Parts: sequence; C-alpha cells; structure tokens
Amino acid sequence: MDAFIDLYNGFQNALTLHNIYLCFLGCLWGSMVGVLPGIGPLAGITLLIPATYGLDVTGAIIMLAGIYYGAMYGGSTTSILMNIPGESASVVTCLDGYRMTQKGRAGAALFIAAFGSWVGGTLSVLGVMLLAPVLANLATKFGPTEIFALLLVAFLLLGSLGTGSFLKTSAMVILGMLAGTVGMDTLTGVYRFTHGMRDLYDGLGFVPVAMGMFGIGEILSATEQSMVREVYRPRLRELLTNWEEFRASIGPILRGSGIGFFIGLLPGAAHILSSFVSYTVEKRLAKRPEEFGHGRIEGVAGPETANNAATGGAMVPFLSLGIPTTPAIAVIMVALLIHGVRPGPLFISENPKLFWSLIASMYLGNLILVALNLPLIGLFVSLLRVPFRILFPVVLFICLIGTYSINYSSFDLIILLGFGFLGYFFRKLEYDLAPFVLALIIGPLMEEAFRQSLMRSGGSPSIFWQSPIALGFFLIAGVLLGLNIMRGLKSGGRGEKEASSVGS
Amino acid sequence: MKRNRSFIFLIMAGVFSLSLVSANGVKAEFPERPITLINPQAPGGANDALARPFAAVAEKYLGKPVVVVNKPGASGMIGNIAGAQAAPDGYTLTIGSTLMTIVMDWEVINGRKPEVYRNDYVSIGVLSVIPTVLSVPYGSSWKTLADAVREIKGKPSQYTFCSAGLLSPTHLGSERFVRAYGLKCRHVPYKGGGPALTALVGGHADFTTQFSLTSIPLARGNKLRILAVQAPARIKSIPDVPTFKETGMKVENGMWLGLVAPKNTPAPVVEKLREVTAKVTKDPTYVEAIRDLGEEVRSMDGNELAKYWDQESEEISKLLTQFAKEGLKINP
Amino acid sequence: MTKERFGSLFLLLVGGYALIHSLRLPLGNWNQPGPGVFPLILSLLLSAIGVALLVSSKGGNPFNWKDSLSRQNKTWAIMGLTAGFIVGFNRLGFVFTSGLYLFLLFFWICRFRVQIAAVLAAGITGAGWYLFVKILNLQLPPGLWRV
Repeated sequence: MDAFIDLYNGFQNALTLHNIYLCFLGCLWGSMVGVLPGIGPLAGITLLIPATYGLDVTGAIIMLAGIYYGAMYGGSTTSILMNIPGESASVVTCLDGYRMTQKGRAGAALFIAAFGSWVGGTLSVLGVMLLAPVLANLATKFGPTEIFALLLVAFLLLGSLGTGSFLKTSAMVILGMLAGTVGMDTLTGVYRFTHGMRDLYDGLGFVPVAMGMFGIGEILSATEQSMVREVYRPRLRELLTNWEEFRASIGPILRGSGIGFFIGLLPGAAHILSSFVSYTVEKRLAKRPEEFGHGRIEGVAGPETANNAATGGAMVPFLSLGIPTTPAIAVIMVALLIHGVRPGPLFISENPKLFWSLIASMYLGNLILVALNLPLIGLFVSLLRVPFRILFPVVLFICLIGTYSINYSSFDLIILLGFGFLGYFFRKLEYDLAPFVLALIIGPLMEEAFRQSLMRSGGSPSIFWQSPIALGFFLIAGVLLGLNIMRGLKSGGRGEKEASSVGS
Repeated sequence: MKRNRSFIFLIMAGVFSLSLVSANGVKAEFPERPITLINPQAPGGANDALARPFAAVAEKYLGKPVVVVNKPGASGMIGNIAGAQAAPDGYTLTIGSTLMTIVMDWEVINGRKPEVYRNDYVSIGVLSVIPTVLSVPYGSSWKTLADAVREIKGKPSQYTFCSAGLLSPTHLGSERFVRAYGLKCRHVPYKGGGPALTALVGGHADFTTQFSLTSIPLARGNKLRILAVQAPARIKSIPDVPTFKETGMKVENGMWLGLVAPKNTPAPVVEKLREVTAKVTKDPTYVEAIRDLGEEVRSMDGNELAKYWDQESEEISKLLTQFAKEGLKINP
Repeated sequence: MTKERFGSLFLLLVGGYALIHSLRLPLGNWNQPGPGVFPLILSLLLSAIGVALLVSSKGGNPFNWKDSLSRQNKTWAIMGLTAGFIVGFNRLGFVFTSGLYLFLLFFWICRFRVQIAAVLAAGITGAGWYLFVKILNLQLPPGLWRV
C-alpha cells in the first residue's frame, strides 16, 4: 500500500537523532504543561514558538505536535490524584479517577490512563494516515443543523452523568446551561447576564469554572474535615492494574478510540465531548452502571482514550483542509505559516515529506509519552503521601497561577474562587457537579447551532428534516429519550444512590 | 530551631537580593528590558501570524526580546484597554487593527463613550493590510461575480452568507458587497473565520467574504471558488480573479494590522520604535516569513498610519451608522 | 430548614433571577428565537424543578446552623485569604502576594509554626517563580519590586 511506503519514508526522516530529540522535548514539555492545571497545550505551544524559529520546519512541527498530544497525557494526572481537571477534556476523568485514588487504586488509574492514551493516540494517527481526505469531507458535511442533532444526543446523555435523583441532575444540567448563556450572544451581539462587566462578555470560561467547582470545591470540603487525611501507601503491585481491571478496560479503550477520533473530527468546540460521550457510553453498556462515579476503571479508561484519540481526529481538518478546529492547532498553524508552509487542502500533496514525517513522529511521540508517563506513576502516587496540610496550599497556588495564565485576567481568578464556593456548596447539598460543567459547554453550542439553522432557513423549521445526517442523530436522540423515560418510570424518579458515599 | 532560623534568613536574603537586582536603575538606552506586545485576540489568528515573526525579527534590532501576550476578550476591548492604560514607557505595545476601529466606533455610534479611543494611542507602524475576497462553495453554480449578483437579485432573501462574527472585518466585507449592489441576503454569523470557512466548504452557506490568507489555500485545493477580490489591485497568487472594481463597483475591504503604543509615550521612544518597525518590515527574514500574506504587505510608518486610521474610522463609521439605523441591534 | 429545602430555594432564587433578566432580552419571534428565549425556557424549567423538589422533600434532617457554621471557619478563612490574593495579585505582584498568601495559609490555617510556615511559603514561592516565570516565561505581574 502506498500509504505504508510513504510512512516508511516518513519514519526514516523522522527518526533522525535531531528529530527524535525534538519529539522528546515536545512530549516532555507537553506532559509538563498538561499536568499543571490551567496551563494547557495552547500555552505550551505558544511559549515555544519563538524557540522554533531556528529549526527547520519538520523539526518545528514535530516538536509542536508533541506538545499538543503530550498535554493530553498529562491532563489526567491531576484529575485522578486530586480531582482537579488539568484542562477541559479531563473533567470526566475526575469522576471515577479520583474515587479510585480514594480507594487506593491511584496507580491503577494512572496506568490505565497512560495505556489508554497510548492506544487512543496511536489508533487515531492510524486513522489520520489512512483516512484523512475522506474524513475531512465528512467533517464539512456537519453544518449547524447536523451539529445541533449531534448535540441533542449529547444533551440527552447528560442525564446519565448523575448519581443522584433525576430531578437534581436535571437541575444541575439546567443551571449549567444557564451559566453557559452568560456573555455575548454571537448571533445577535446582545449581552446576556453580564451587567455591564466587560470581563463577562465572553462568558464564564470553562477552565475557571471546572477547576473551581471540582478542585477548589474539593479542597474547601476537605479542609472542613480534619487536616490529617488518610494516606495510602501503595505497594508496587498496586501501582498497576490487576488483570481483571485490565480486561475490563479493553472494551472501553477500543470504543473510546473510535468515539474520540470521530468527535475530534468535527468542527467546533466539541472536543471535550469526546471524553464525555465515551464515559456515558461505557456507563450505559456496563452491567452495573450505578457503580460509575464510585471508582470503576472503565470510567477512566474510556474517556482518557477518547480525549487522546480526539487530538488525532482534530488534526484531520487541519491537515486536509487547513482549518484549525482548536486553539492549540491554530497556533501550530501560525508556526507553520511562519516557516513558510501553507496549510490547506494541498498541504499533503505539496509537502508529502513533511506530512509523513509528522505522522511518523506522532507514532513515535505516543510511544515516548507512554514510556515517560509509566515510570512517573510511582512518583505521582508518592505525591499523595505529602501531608494534606502541605499539599493543599500548594495546589491552591498552582490553580490560581494556572488559571491566571490563560487570559492574564484576574477576573478569571474571581470566577475560580466563586465557583469553588459553589462547588463546595453543591457538594454539601448533594448535587452532582459533572452535569453542570458539561452542560455549560453543550448548552450554548446547542442553542447556537439551533438558531444558526433557523437563520439559514429564514425561520422555516423544515431545514431540520432535510438533512439525512441530522435525521440519523435525531433518531438516536429519540431512542435515548425513550430509554430515559422508560427507566424513569421504572425507578419512580429516584436515582441510583444505593451504597454511595455522600456527595460526589 | 537554630537551623530553621538561619535557613529562613538565607531565604529572605535571597528574595530580597533578587528584588534589588531588578530595581537597579542604570540609565541605559531603550530598551533595557523585554518588551511586551499585547495581542487583543485569541492565539492563532491573523494577528499572531504577523505579530510573532515581527517579534522574532524585532529582537535583532532592539537587542531585547519582544514577548507576545494574548489578552483576548470582549471583541478585543480587553486587550485594547490594557494596551492604552499601560505605562507609557514603550515597554508595552499593542497590536492595532481594523478590529479596534470597528469596536471603538461602534460604541461611539451607539451613543456610548468607549473606554479607550484612537487618540489614546500613538501609531507606530503597519505590518500589513490584508484584503478580503468573495468566495462560494466549489460546487456552486456561480462562476463569476455577475452570476452571483444576478442570482441573488432574482431571489431576494433566499441566499445566505456566513461571517466570522458580527461586525468582524469579514462581515463588513459582505455587507459592503450587498449594499453596493442592492441585494438582500440572510446572514449567519459563526465564531471565527475557521468555522465560517468550514461552513462554506460544506455548502452550508452560499457565499462569504473572508481574508485572502485563509481563502486562497482552499481555493487552490478546489474546496471553494473565489469570485472577486475586495482590494484595489489583483492579488498576485490568484491572478485570474478580478477585483470588484474591474467588474462593476468599487467595493474594498480589508484589515490593517500594526503596532500602537500608549499616547504619552515619550517622542524619542516612539521614534525608535517606528524606526525598528520600518526596518523589520523590510528585513528579508520577516518578508520571507510572511510571504504568504505576501502580496498586500503594505507597511506604513507611524504618521501614515495615523492618517489612514482616521480615514478608516470615518469610512467605517458611515457603514456602522447604517447598521445602527437599520437595527443591527448589538448590545442594545 | 433541611438540606433539600435549602437546595430548592437556591434553585428558585436563580430561576427567578434568570427569568427576570431574560424577559428583558429581545425575544424575537417563533421562527427566529432571540437571545432571550433560551434563558427564559431554562429559567422556567429551573423554577419548576425547584418547586418540585421543595414539594417532594418531606422530612429529611434539619440543618443544624450553629454546628455547621462553626465547622466552616477554615473554609471561610481560606476563601477570604484567596480573595485577598486575587485583590493583591496585580498591585503587589506575583512574588509578594504568593509568598504572603502561602505563609498565611500555612501558619494560620494549617497551624504550622511561624518558622516552618515561612520556609514553606518562601520555598514554594521560589519554586513557583522559577517554574512559571523562568521556565514557562509567563508574564506575571511584577508588582512593587519588579521581580
């Protein structure tokens, strides 16, 4: 097959000592910024652009791409260990990952996260390599109508995130959507709920809200109890998954790769959905879904694989159309422009060597990352041994600086603190946090897609049933709704809270 | 106990001496320390694509690094305000562009006093002027501008154009087009040029005016077709595409990108900055780096920019006033 | 006043606020919903859920205000300190504010001895400075000492 011959050449090119070194640097740097909450691949890439001026274009893009998918590996670390989402896609990992830590299985969680990330990353590169042009066309078929249909499905899945009563989960979903409307409405320019505060014109910002609710909220709750927390001293055996956990993770990992890759393809800010959809799919497929949210390894394996697969998927529109779908990729595009390379539909055909070297380096990079992250598991787990009273101020400090670094805005810190309090507040009242945070993203996207569709059709709703893709998703949504209603009727509106620890 | 005390003392001494080092004020030439360049847009846009190479090359001439800092928000106002209110010592510059003009003039037209305005800045220079081009999906039956105009006139309010956002330069481009020809179209705003172009390529809109930089690669890849250019002259990399002027009406639209500093920056510093900017725009490394924005690299020096800016503001204000009157009610 | 009721009241409060504000926004018409429609629907739903929860929450443990508040001292203190950090951050600069913040957290909340608190605070601030300013090259506010 042609592709594999080109790949072989790409490997030859990529495996020069120089390029391997750059790939390693990129992955290392990416992991580091990924671990630090708030500072994500965007900041990491932006910071290193000046360093790439002296490099040749192949080396530059290898390094920058390394940062990009490297950050996805690191993002799960703080989610699992401390319930602090390192960045948007890692929120879902907090749900079961942190529970596993509390049960002493932190090592297993970190291991499966790294392993799943490797599989997801590698499979998605395979997808990019073989399917890029075809998939790009598919991605462009998703206009506002189709996106709305897809998001409707996602919205209906939000209900599965809750471990409490249906009413309470719905309340959080609605609250999240309301919070998402804060800011300027992009379709009419009207400001909603901003009260004249310029800092709110662009909305609340997902990272301060998520970090605040999960991380700061957790700290505030924890300090209420005694300062001395149980410290788990895991043995080496416990640093890895046991055979049963590993076997249970295989399905989620494979499914997560597919889901993540597909969602990563789509235009728009839907990438966080990759981990979320994977989580809800796994929960629905599980034999005992009520255990999700209490430390099931599938709840870590699936989402972590999905969000790494999504990074590969996100490269597809960029490599085959020249359109970046995430801010991090946009910055990579700028770096390419600076080096005189024009991204666009002809990128692959005009720069075959560059493209294949990049693909080869992505395989390599994923390997490097898993090799980097696995030994570090022991190190990270031992971080848990640090007494809580020393750890939490440090964590607060890092969260504050990390959040500030996103937009260099002190207002974001106010949001962080405010939602930290809300997270604490909701925990006390036993409301689930995850539906809120995810609805924050899905709600506005859904509304925007809906209204864009109507704007296009001049107000006629027929546009919704004229698109086959949209109809397909509406069908799925209908099935989901039906299942939800049936389940709701059966359990009498109460939730799955059986042997659960309080709050989440 | 004793160990702790001396340890603390050492640390305090360390922190203290660090601060001493920086506060050392020997009068040297400007610049003595790195310069911050505020980009009021999110990372990865046209601003970045010009600003970062500039920063890299300017370091050569200035002797100190120029660090690009993204301060996005409120259509650029957050960065604009930060730039205007920074200390006027030449160490904080801002990327000025047509976006600034639009957002500030819109406030004025709606009877509100913008927090900062053109006269809060002193112009340093222009890095480029990027024109917009009119594109249609590749599968569209419109092959020339005349086709498009005819079809749209024939079915008023049936065709849609997409834009990168309300009141973005690309939106203005489409508005200028439809108003010049007396057309009625539907408008669907998207969040940025990328999503807008994706929508166009997928056939979810009938036409759009986007920057040449982002449209031309897609045209070369046969994902869309460029019908006309909203610039005074044809673009070299697409020599077959006529300008609007050639085919009928003079419709021009574009975005300038340059540097501005807070208004009370001392004159010698401004001079130095202007000098460096002029040198950078002629520097072969820089020109090579932005070759793809290439054709319309018009650099202007500070004084030219000031005049150009005033003219642009006047012209755009006319357009914005029409919007306001017709009820493009933004931020009522 | 039980936990459940407290929660429902909160929902009703937010729902009411959102309702009032979304009615002030342009609502458009059936075919072209304006920016106010979505928040309006949400606020109505939220209020409905609030009422439903209020009604269905019969019984439940009553809140013990005093007990709860006394245990929350630390929480409020941490929030207060963090608020102070935010206020001081831009004016006093990264190094000073962080150092002070950490010191107060260690000394006051975690009850370390003064010396240890100071050492920890200084050490972490220093490490943070090195990581964030030197390695990551973030432009953190220099404050009074231009560090």
